[in-house]
Amino acid sequence: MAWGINGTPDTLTGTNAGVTISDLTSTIFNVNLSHVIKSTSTNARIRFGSSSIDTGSNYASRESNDGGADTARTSQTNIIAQVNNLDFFHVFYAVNISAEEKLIIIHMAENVVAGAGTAPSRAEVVAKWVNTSNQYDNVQVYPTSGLYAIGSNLSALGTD
Amino acid sequence: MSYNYIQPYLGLSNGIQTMNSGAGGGGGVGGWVELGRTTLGSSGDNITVSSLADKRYYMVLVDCDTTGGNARPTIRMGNGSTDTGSNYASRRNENGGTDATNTSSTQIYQQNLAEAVPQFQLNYIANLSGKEKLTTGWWCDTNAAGAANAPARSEFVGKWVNTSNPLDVIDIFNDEAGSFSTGSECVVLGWDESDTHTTNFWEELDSVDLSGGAATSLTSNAFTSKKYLWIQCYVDMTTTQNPAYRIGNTTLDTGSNYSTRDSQSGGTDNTRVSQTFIHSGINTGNMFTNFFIVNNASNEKLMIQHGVQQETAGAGNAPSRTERVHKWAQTSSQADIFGLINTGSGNFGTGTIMKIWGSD
Repeated sequence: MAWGINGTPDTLTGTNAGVTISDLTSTIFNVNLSHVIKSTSTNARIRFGSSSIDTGSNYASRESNDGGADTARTSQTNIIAQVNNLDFFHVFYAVNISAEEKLIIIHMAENVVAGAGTAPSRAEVVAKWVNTSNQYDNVQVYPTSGLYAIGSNLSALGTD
Repeated sequence: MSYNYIQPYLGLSNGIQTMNSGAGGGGGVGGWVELGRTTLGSSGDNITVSSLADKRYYMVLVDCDTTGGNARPTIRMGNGSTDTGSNYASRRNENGGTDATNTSSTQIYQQNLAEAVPQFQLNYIANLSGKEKLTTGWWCDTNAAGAANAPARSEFVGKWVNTSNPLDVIDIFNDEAGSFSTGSECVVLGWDESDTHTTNFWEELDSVDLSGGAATSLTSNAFTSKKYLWIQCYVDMTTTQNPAYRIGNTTLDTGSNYSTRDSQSGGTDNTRVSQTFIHSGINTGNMFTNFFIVNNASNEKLMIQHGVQQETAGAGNAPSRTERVHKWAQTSSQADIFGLINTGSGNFGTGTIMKIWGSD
C-alpha cells in the first residue's frame, strides 16, 4: 500500500482545547503532522485511543528538551511533547499493531517567543501507549490548560 | 563562493528546477507529493526551489556535494523571492553535543561543521500564512571517505518569522568558501488536507515480514533502486536478539563497509567504524525504527535513523530511544536490497515487518 491521508484532519475554526482525529483507519505505519497555535496559555500533550481517547495511565515516554538529559516518565495519562508554551510543530511516527504496545517517535519544534530574537526550542520524544487489545483509531494533541487558536491542525497519513 | 546567474526556467538560479504537479509513485489518496526540485547544472551556492504551491506542510530532501572547499546547506525561505533579511532563528545540536542557538540571523543554521564532503539533509516545515514558519530536521555527512571514518550528524529546529504570507520559496544556501557541486539537489514535497492526488512521491518498493515463521533475519527482495529511500521496520523481539541491518546491491554486503554515529537515550555519541553491519539495538523489547537514505551510486550511502525500543512491557517502564546516522562506504552502485539481521541469539518473532519506500 502507499501512504495516504488517514481520517479527517482537524483544523480548528474556533478556539478549542485540542485537535483530534477520531475516524482513523487503523493502519500499521502512521505519520502525524500537527501545528498547534497558542490562543491562551498552552502546552502540548499527545494521546491515542481505540473508539475514544484513552485518558488512563497507560503511557510511558522518554524525552530530551533542547538537547538536555533525558527524562523518563512512566504511568502517565498522556505523552508530554513540549518545552515551553507557544506554537508547536510536531512530526510523529507510530507503529500500530493490535496485540503490541504502540511505539511512537516524536520530533517537536516550538517558536517559544515570537520574533527572530528568540531561538526556537526542540524536543526529541519516544513513547508507548500500552494497549495490547486493539489498534488505535483516535489521536489527539491537546493542552492541559488553555486553548489552541483558529487554524491549529492535526493531520494523519497511514499505510499498512 | 560562486555566483548565480539568471537561468531561463524559474528565476534566479544556476540549477534546473522542475515543477511537479504530481508525477510520482502512485497509490493512496493525499500522500506526500513532489512540488518541485532544483538540481544544480553547475556548481553554486544556492539550490533554490521557487513557485511552490501553498501547502500546510513540506518535507524537504537535500542531497549535496561540495567543490572548492567547505559548503554548508543552511536554509532560507521566502514569498516571491528568498528572504535574506535577519528574520531567522535556529537551534542545532552537532554530534550529540550541547545545543547552540542563533537569533536574528539571515538563515537557519543546521550545523557548524562545514565540511567538504557529501551531505544529506531532511527537514519538515509547517507553513501557515499568518504564523511563523517552523522547521525540524536532521543532517549528516560522510565526514571523510571510507568506513574507517564515522559520519557526522546534527539535529536542528528553526523558524522564519514572516507572519504575512505563506512561503513559496525554499533556498538551500551555502555560506562557506566552497560551493555545492554539480548535481546537488533539493526536492520539496508537500502535504495538505485538501489534496486529492494519488501520485505519491514515496512509492512502495517492497514489504516483507516474518508472518510465515520466526527467523534470525529478514531480508527484502531486490527492489528497484531509487535515489531516496524511506525504510520502516518493526522488530518483534522474543528473547535476547540484538537487531542490526545490512544493505547491498543484489546481496547484502557482509564486508567491513559500515560506520555509524549514535546516541542512545540521550547519551554521549558513540562512533563505530569498519563494521560488518549497521548497529541498531539498544536494550530489550520490541523496536520500531525509521530510516531515510540517500542512495547515489557513486557516493557513500548516507542514512538518518531514529528508533524507539519498548523495554519491559507496561506503562511502568519508559521506552528507550536512539538517534543514529550511518554510512555504507560503497561507491560503485545503488543499493537495492536491505536486511534485518540478529547479532544476538534467538529468532525474531512473527510480528516483525519491514517496509521500503523510495523515489528518484
